[in-house]
Amino acid sequence: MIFEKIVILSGIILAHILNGSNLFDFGPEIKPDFMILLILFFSLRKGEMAGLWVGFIGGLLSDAGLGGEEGTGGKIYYKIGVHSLSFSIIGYLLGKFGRSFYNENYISITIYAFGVTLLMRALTYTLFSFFFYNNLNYSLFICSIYNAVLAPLTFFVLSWTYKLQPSEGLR
Amino acid sequence: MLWDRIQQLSEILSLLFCIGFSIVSLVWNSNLVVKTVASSQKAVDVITSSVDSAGGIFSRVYQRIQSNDALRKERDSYAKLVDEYKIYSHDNKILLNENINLRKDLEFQPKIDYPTTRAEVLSVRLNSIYRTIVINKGKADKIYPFMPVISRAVNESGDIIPAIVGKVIASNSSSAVVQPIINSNFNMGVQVEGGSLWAILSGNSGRGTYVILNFLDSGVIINPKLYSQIGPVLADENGLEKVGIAGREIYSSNGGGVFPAGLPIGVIVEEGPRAGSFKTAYVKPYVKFDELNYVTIIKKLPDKWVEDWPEEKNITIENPFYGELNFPGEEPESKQTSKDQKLTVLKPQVSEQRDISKKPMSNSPTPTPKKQEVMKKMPLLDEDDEDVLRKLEGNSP
Repeated sequence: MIFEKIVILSGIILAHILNGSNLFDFGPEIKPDFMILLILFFSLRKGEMAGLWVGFIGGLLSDAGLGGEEGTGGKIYYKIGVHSLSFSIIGYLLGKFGRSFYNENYISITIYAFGVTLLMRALTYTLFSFFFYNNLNYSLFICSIYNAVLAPLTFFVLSWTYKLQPSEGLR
Repeated sequence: MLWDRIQQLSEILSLLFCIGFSIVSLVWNSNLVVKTVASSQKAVDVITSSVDSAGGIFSRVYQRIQSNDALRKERDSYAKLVDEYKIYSHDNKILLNENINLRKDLEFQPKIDYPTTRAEVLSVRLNSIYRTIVINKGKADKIYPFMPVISRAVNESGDIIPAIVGKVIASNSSSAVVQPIINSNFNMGVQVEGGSLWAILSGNSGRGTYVILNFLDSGVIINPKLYSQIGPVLADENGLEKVGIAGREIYSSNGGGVFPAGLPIGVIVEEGPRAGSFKTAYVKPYVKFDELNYVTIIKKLPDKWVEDWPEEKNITIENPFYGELNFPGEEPESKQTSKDQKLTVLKPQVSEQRDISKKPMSNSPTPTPKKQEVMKKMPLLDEDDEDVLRKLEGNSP
């Protein structure tokens, strides 16, 4: 049980590391978001609680990656909470309601990956605009398309790594 | 019983915890838990850089083998050149002095002369909502927030130049976070090449890795068509430099006191959306952020802000002249000055406090012969500069 959680946590950290590296980049603007694909995978395969917690922890790591910014009086301001909120909510809702419409095939995975990436990034963008300022540089569509392309391969690798078959998580 | 009840409610409790924690962290974003979570990034960044290094090891080995021979030949040719240039060392000194004098005469900005430190890039997060670069130098290497960060880049002419990457926004003992110029919250004052045109550069361009120039005068022409057809035109005999500013370089202006003046940033590529009565223009930065491996930090702390100007050094002008002109021969209506006519002016350029009303020109005593001599030598001084004149005469009180 604990070993399983440690392996899942390792996957979250690996996804975060891959997001910070340039191994899968096509130029400065075309980058994937592996964290969203991981949350999508666990939400669809293991259900809403896995989606919620993987989303929350993965979101916290992503928020930590935004770094702090020194403000007046040497006080450092962080942006913790943006990704954790959006990822955990979408992960939970996806595990709760999204599985009934999901069929395990390449087209379905691709469509889900595109839609969920777009939704998660749109929610993150909205939260950031609400709590901080309007950010025009956040890529919504390019990242979603790239994630959709990478999703079948990622699902295959994750299914093999975690030994989770499509029917396993379904009630 | 209670445990069963908790088990039943575990789903809703988990959901409430996740949402509650996130919202509390967003609202109260400098509490201890948030700081702890944020500090976990430091460990992850070290692993990220290791993954990057491992991934790029094969391509680097191949590139290094290829470039090794070329570099050897280049080294031999440069060694010969160095021997030749040693002969001209004396001429160099003369030229250097001449250059300094010319810079003074032409009021050029002096060359940047600050200590620098090279740092390795640990991670470049361009895909995140708040773009950052993490480097492996921190407070232990005397890296502090607001220090400018530059990197080697290639300009439009193919020359290798030091171009602005961004500025340090936070640092801990062994790493620092750099805010790149393409960060949506980045702003700095810039100057356009070849003219007295200033603007504000913002990273919130909404266009990938481009940045945007805001507050450009509406009379400025930005001509992308001309630029794309004939390339960057700065000046020629036909006066094409007047047509548009597309293709011109932009430099730091030191308006904000963070970046030294004259550091190149990028080149103007096309006109942006109009912002009220101002124009905007997109700028392509010289730095390729996705290929950054090393950066250089200029160890320059921000200049003193105007707010630091001590209040006692403000100039107080009593009886400011707002009314009608008093022609020669006419007496002013009242010599009494009311308190509400006092005007306080901030003037940081003047280093001495002056009360103009106390020493009107007409009532000033006749200057001594020595004072007249000093005033002839320094025509910018007037008779009111009593303190300066006293010091020059050697009569300081």
